[in-house]
Amino acid sequence: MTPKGKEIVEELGQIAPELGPLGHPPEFDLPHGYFNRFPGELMARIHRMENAEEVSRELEELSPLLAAMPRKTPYYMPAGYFSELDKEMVLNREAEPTAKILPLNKRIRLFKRCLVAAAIAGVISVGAVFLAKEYSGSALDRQLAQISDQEIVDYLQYNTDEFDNENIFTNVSLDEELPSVLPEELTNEEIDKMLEENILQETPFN
Amino acid sequence: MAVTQEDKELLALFREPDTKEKGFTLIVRKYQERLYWHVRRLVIDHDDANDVLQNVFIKVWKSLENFREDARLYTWLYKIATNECLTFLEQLKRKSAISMSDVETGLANKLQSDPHYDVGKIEWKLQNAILSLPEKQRAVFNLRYYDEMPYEEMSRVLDTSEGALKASYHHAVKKVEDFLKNN
Repeated sequence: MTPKGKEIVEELGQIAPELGPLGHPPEFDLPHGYFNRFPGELMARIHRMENAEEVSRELEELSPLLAAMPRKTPYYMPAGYFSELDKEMVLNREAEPTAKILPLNKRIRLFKRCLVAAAIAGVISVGAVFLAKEYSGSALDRQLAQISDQEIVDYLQYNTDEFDNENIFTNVSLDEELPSVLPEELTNEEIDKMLEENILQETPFN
Repeated sequence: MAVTQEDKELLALFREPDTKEKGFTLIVRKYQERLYWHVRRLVIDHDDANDVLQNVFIKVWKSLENFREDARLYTWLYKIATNECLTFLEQLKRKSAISMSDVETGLANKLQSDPHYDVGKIEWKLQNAILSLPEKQRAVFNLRYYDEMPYEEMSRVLDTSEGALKASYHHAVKKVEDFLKNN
């Protein structure tokens, strides 16, 4: 016993002689490794508190409305759910994670693939039709361009009747005066002016 | 942040064949409630949350042997739980693509079928507002607002940079606030 402890025993003997000498303190039950864990648990608690304060402060700045609201989830949950969950988990620990969903998943993927394939086929078909139209139009133009004026004159001479001739003449207006652009009818000044205007229009200014 | 002393002891129990079951039960008991609520807030329905949570713990049982103690057990569990929830919601989307329905409408219906649902109460209005967020942003909002998770840990859970998470949370808070003011 330390000198200080001796003093305390003597003091107690003077105050309450009936109490007798002090024995060893009773052995309180202590969880295994309590003191090893204590500093870590304390620090974790301090971190949680500090973090909670930081979250609240941030929310207060962002939205005082939300910060003032109670932060609870109001959902219904069956009574005693958590007390049974650990037992249930130990029983089901070797189970496969809900494998029954997979076949449906595969079917959905197949359905999706079919949809994608149909969409691609549609796009190709529509594109092909447009291309064919485009190609056929330009091919006709190319073929027409290859026909010479003489061939057209010959064709019209041998393949038109009176009705066609009349039709052609009625569609062409003879009253309209076509502008004369023959070089011999223009003066040199007019030609210079026209050239200057056209060259100016085509020359970039920078 | 490394594993806490208490979690180290639980992991040590789990790694011994004789005490493996005891270690697992203690881990389930310690984390079940937090994980359940995290899952429940994302999938809304209790039965769905129960299925997802069971999948989470089955995965934990199967892969805890390989858990490296350079991260917190809590962060690792949240990561598995979040991934399971997002997978579940993805499957729900695929199903709704066939039935031509909307996932958000489906979740809103589940919310409204809760026996405690009361549209007049502010806490249910808040749930509807949170449900209007895209699912990943909903996860970010819930982890910060309800679980008070630091951005550093959230970054490990969601594999996203802290800056992006902060921006996402701030945007989510504004959207939730707008929803509450306009509805």
